[in-house]
Amino acid sequence: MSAHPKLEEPLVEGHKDYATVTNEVCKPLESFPTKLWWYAFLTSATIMGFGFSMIGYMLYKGVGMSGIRSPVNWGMMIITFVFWIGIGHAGTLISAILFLFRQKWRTAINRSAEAMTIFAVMCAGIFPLIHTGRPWYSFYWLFPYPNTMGPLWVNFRSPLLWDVFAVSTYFTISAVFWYTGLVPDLATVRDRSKHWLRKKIYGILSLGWRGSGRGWHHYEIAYWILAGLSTPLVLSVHTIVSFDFAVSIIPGWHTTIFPPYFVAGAIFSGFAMVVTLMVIAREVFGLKEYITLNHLEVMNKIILATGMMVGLAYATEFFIAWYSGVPYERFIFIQRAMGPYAWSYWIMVGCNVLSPQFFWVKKFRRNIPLMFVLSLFVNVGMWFERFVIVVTSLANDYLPSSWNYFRLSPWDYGVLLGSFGMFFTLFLLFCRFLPTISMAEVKSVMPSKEGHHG
Amino acid sequence: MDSAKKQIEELRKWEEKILTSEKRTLWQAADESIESRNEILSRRADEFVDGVKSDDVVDSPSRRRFLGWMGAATALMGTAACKRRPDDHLVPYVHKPQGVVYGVPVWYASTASNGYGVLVKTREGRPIKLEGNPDHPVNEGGLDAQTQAEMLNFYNPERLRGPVNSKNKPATWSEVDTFVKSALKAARPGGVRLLTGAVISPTLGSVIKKFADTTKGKHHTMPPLDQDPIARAHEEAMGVFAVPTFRFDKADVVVSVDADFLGSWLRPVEFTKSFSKRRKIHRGDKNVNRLFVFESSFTLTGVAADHRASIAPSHQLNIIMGLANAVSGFGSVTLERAANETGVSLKELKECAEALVKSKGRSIVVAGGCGPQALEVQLACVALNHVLQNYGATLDLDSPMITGYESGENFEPLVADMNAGNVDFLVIQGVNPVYQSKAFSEALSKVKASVVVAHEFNETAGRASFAIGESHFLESWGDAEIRSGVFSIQQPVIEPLFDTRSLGECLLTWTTDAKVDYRAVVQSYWKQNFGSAISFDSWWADQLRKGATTAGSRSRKSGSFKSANLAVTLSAAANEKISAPYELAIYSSVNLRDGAHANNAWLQELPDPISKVTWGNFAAVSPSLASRLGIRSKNATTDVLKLKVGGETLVIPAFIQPGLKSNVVNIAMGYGRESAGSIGTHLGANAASLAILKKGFTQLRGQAVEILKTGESYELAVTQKYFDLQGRDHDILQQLTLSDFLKDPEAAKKAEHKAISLYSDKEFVYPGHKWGMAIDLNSCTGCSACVVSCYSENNIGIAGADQIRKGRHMAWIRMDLYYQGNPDSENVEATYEPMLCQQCDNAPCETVCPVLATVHSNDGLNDMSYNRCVGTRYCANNCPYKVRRFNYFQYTDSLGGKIDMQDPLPMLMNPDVTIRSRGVMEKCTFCVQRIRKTADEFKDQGKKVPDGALKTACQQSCPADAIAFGDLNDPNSDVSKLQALAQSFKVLEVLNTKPSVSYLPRIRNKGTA
Repeated sequence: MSAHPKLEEPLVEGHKDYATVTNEVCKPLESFPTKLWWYAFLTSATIMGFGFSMIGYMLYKGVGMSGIRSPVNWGMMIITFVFWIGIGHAGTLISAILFLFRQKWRTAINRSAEAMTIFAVMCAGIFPLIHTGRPWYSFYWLFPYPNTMGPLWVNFRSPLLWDVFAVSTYFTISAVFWYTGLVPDLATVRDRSKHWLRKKIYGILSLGWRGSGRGWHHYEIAYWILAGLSTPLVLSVHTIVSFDFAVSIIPGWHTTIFPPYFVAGAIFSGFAMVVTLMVIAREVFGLKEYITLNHLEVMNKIILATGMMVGLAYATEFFIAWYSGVPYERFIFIQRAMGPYAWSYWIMVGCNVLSPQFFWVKKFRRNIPLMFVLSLFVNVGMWFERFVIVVTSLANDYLPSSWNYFRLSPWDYGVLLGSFGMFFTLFLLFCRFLPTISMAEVKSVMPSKEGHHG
Repeated sequence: MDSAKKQIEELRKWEEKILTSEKRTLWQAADESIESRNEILSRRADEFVDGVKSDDVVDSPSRRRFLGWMGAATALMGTAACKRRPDDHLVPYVHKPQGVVYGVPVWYASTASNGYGVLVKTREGRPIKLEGNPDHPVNEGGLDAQTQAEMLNFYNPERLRGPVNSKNKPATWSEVDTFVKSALKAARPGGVRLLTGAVISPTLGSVIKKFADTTKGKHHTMPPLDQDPIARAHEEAMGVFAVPTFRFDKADVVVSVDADFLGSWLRPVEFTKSFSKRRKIHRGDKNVNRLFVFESSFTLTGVAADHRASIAPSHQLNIIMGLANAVSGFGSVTLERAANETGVSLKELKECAEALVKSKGRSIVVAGGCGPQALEVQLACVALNHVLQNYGATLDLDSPMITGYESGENFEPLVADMNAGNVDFLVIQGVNPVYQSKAFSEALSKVKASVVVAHEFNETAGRASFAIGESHFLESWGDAEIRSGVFSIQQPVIEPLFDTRSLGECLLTWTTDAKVDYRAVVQSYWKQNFGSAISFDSWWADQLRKGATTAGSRSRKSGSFKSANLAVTLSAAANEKISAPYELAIYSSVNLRDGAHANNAWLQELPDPISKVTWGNFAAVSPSLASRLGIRSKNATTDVLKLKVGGETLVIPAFIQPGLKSNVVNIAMGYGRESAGSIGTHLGANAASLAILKKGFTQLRGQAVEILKTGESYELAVTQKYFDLQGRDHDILQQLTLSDFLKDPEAAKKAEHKAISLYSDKEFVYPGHKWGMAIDLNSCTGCSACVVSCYSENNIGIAGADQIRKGRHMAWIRMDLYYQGNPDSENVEATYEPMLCQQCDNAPCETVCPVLATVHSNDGLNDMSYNRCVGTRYCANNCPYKVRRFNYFQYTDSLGGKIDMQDPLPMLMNPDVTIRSRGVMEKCTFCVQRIRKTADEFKDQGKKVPDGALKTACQQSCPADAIAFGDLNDPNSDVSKLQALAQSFKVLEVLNTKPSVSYLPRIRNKGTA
């Protein structure tokens, strides 16, 4: 914590003192929400409600309301599951890996990035469940628990089971990590509270934090340990998600490139989502001096780098399809680029490979409207990447007799929309009730008035 | 150590001393000063005990106890799943019927209404499955899709449940009987008419004769369309009004001109049985037959052909005349002229003629299709068969096929009489003339009183005074003579489900006053005609047990060829100009035939074997015609066409079908029903409205048709959209020509790198049985009887058209069809490949299921436990054969969403097979219920299951005997021998899935020269 990287620009702008930071960060929590917040919240909550009523109807009628069909037995649910899990990667990367690498610029964005992770994983978690034919069983039959059905266990060879473990572990660690980081700030909010109920709630949430030296010592050790625990998860979760595909024998899925390719893609999409949210948050909550252009630029660089990795992966897949000499593999990749789903493939390439190329230019990296649009492109592109992977491989696999054209159903779109509603609802609630910027950590990277370095 | 122990001991003693002293001045804690000495001592004693402290000494639970309780609570959570089952009572028999044991099926031999011998499986008194009777000399165990589907017809909730009036409101029997009796009394002599379909029952024939005699009425029959010209041609040319028995098993060369004898022409099961006997090259018979097909539709026979050429319907006569000329100089149409006029390559025709010449007396030429010159075509066919010396060899006129309509007068005179007002009372049974014939429909309004005996309230029933619910063959007595001299008894296996009667019962009730016992009627007929009086009872019991007999052949007059002028008239007919710019071809589809079974969900759900279209018909046009007329088709959504023949129009969606002549439009009959219950009504368009009457014959093919586009489009419900192997022949479907095969059986196999497995073979050792299957692609005709048989055996749900449009089809076995050759060409070839669960040793589905719902059994099966399945569908994705079927909805709640699962439908279900709920994956199990039952039976006797004792439902029903099933651990089993053949291959072997199903390649006999 002592080494301060030589940055050309300060991490927090506006020559603030600690009190200003506290006041500014706590402001959205302590004042009646703005009209803008209400509009945003009500819209997202309505969309969420719509999505959940769609899900409710699907549960009532059957999973057939979705567009899935033979041979494309996985559709919107798995595509969107992988999409949200991917989004969730940036949070942990920022909070854990960048923390371990002592990237001080992370302090302004780690709280909201982590929140985003947790909400994204929550959104993701819904999908495998509603994807199954009998969700009322799958939510507990997928866990190895002692049961009355004889020695009936789960299949430890199935990647779907690994998924269950990977995602639940990831969610647990991320949530604990996030909450641990929140404790000192929650205590700050508690200390500033005037209403008894507010005091009580934040008091309970802050777990009796007193800010003693001993407390800080324990806190930092815990934070380090959790960062260490989370770090492998950044790599493992999407690796395991990619096993859902890589372990199968379907052409276009059965490839060893999937783990690194998926992880790169996940970080790519995660950072894009962080940029999307940060651009909005700094406008809406007046946090421009905390989340500075420098922050956004650094993230854009990461987007560029991971976007190139993803592009390399696309190229490698094609090369290997040709080089392997497996006719099924070749056929699938030709189909992807030129077959009935070519439109989705070229949306994917356009959004994921071409659009980040703007970020080679510094001016573009620091251009807020452009980066906002590009970050949306990347997210669209990454959704389509999963669409391309899931649908094209299944639709045209081994026996031509079974090939079929896949169409999404209205319910699919409804559930996808609902998941965005849920994500933004949760994020808006987070902005309203929890400090969106880690005050304690930001203060540690601010040049103090006394001239010390924190 | 010792010193430490000593020290502790000393401390203890010291402590004891202090504590026991009456007057204490020292204490360790404030409490001790007031505690009594004993209290302190007991507390101290507990403080350092070895091992676990017992719980009863502490009031609060220990950590261990706490965890123990928690574990127990968690374990008890499982009991939350123990929900009360719905109350259901098992009621034992008060008087147990002899031979009935709960759970043990009872089989009865009987006869289906179409004459095929069947074995009926009954469970607890209700029939649940039909199987072909292996002892029946005609179908020899095989059945077709229609007969298999009779099971569903029987339990169809929409059957007529008794007599109803013309508004389909229930009537009473006395009401109907009084009405009929007074109508009979009021009728003028000759005014009573009875219209039926083919009557193959000798008893019913005698009852009808008696009825006609007593009422002074007449019996008319509506013959199956193809039979009439054949019989009349034989009358004209051979002097016998009959359809000969075709002995395809004796024919080396078969030529078919628009006769789909393997799919829908006359008796496909019988023909498939005998034809496929000559295709068993994989069983060592090198003398396989050779099939030439010239057809204007694409049919199963065309798929089975070794040489297939597409023609226009107007070319039928030219082809046969050309061949006759080349073979024997008959007529004046040379082969060159035939080739020129029909567009068939001369080389092909020459080969055909040469093959016929080479195998005189060992060939068959058949023609059909009700073309523009139906009688002339049949006459030419008779002549050609005659010069090839086939009569008496491969064609049997002495014991002809009983067509069952010779007894009655034809249909057209009836319509004429109706129009003339000569018909006072009309009884209709077995046919649906209002749907089939517009002329009849118009004439019917001139008939005062009419009664329809039918299974369902069909179009004709709606026009009659009363409709009478007809008993099904499973619940009524009867008999059949399916071939001259081949008799079988139809015995009921259950009391009539509803208040119904058979036609015989009706007729007898109306002409006699006594109560009718139809069983006695059948018995007395047999007693009079066949049984000797003394031993009749045992003879009768024997007949019932066997199901069929060939005893007591009736003598018939044999025919002789009358050649007078035939060559001249036929040559003149061949000169007639009958071709049209666009010609129509109405064919009978394999699933529905004439449409009588349109309300059968199994048959509607069964894909048309060629187009793979379900739940409706279409106008099939060739790709070149489609591009010429701008007819588009994408993802089964096609342009809707308007077809005009004369003044009649028909609006019907197009379907682009390779392998058709580019000026021919094909439409299937049997659709467009107006009143066929919830399932069959308003599906497709009624092609019969475009049929025309020509020279006394119904013409189905060759009429000039005008093709217009309506501008609308329609999505067909298809189960297969891609028919091209994409060059994957070696991995998926191997086929080769006979000459290549004879040189090297493995010619279709590539000698490339062999797949290496990282797994040891020891992983796949099965101690007892190891079930496997071999499918002979050279025998399989694609008739789809196995598909329906599987639906019946395994309680498979009906998804319905909308679900099929989404690619959700539930069939466990499907007929994959692949074309070879240029798709734009008129002469593509096609091959079937039945695809079902391959029961892989190294099953990709098993490893990916997260809940172990699909696992491997120790006899080599890939088991599916529905109760455990949560429906992740990962298994279906990872199955390279795509044979897993998912219940996207609760399909078993209804028949395709059209008929709810109401009484008596639940009785249809096979109690040995779980009914799957929604959200559950299912697939072929190799009929595991049959395997377990049979294996258990033999286990009780301490034996292994012998080869042949166990048949899967698909195998049993196959009329081509293309499926072999058995134990792969037994090297002498049929299936082991077939799998061991050099030419046997497995689909997608390259994936190392190690399937238990192997295929024997399709071999085309292109001549051995």
